[in-house]
Amino acid sequence: MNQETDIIAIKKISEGDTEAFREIVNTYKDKAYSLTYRILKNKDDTNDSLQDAFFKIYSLIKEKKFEYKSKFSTYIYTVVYNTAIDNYRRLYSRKLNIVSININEYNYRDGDELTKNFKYESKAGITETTYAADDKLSTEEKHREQEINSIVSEYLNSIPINYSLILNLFYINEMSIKEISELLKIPEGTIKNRIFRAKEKLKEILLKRFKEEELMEYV
Amino acid sequence: MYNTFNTLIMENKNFNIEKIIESKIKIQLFETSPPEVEEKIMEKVELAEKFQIEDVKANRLVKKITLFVIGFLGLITLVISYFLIQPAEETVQKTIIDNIFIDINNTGLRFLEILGFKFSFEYFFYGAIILILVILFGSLDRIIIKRAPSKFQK
Repeated sequence: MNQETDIIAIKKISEGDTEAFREIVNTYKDKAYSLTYRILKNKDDTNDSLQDAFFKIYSLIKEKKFEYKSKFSTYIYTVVYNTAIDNYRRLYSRKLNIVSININEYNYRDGDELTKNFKYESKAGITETTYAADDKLSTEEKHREQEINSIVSEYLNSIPINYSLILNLFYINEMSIKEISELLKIPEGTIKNRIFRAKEKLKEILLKRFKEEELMEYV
Repeated sequence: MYNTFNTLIMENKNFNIEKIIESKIKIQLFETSPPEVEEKIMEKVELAEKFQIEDVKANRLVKKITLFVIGFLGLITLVISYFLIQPAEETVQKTIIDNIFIDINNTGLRFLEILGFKFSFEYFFYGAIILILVILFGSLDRIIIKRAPSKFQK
């Protein structure tokens, strides 16, 4: 969906066309789900929050509250984010801290917070059937790719939400640095810095385990 | 020349590794929503849409009834107040004004009299009734509007 089709859909929805809203749900549900899951980290709560968020979006469109001042996708993700934050507060009875990083001043080293909870163990016993889908790669390459994916996944699940949320908004929800900065009320420089540091740390972890040439095979 | 070439290769390598990392991040961050999510959302939305149409109809009917009842009550109140307050007006009005608004001529209300408003207990009485009716009508309206969503919200 592009901006034009979004506008057409918005007009149809405000006239009561629920099928037009189904298209909107279809287009944004997965990316909105990723964002909500990043905050709530629980599938059931994420489902509930997503339902609330999309219902809010529907009501807002019906009430003609969307004023075309921002991209429609940004508007959707803003509602989804705010709903998830509200649900987080309600479920955990505390505010989600996305501004400051919780560190111990005495033994803190730059980047520590990114690897503090990162524990990766190579999983033995990966069988041929795991790779059945892709026959072009050799077993060794498939094994390597599987391992890279596991490392990246483990890393993303272990880094603080201050980082993972920004990465999600930037790479999955395709929001600009400025839009993220406005949404999270964090300076643009901090957003850029967190994206850069998160990537650099991951690169460091991957290069510790694999040779550059091995990584380059995926280009 | 060799150094420049080498730097270019290195930059290219870094660029490519960065691209790999970014694509891996995208793959791993992306979560596919369960199929029932869409259905549940649409169920909620369709229910809301249905309620809204019914609600508008119900709203109009209740508004008409409320207006009629309020108008009827208002008329009765006016008639009763005319017959009941009129004979007692002089004593009641004077007592209240004498006791509560002792220095009425010296207060800010004096300017209303200058503007042509006749200060009397009757005006207060009618004013209060109209105010109560307006509040009552307003809150009834709000109750009706709020009622529909509560039926499908969990």
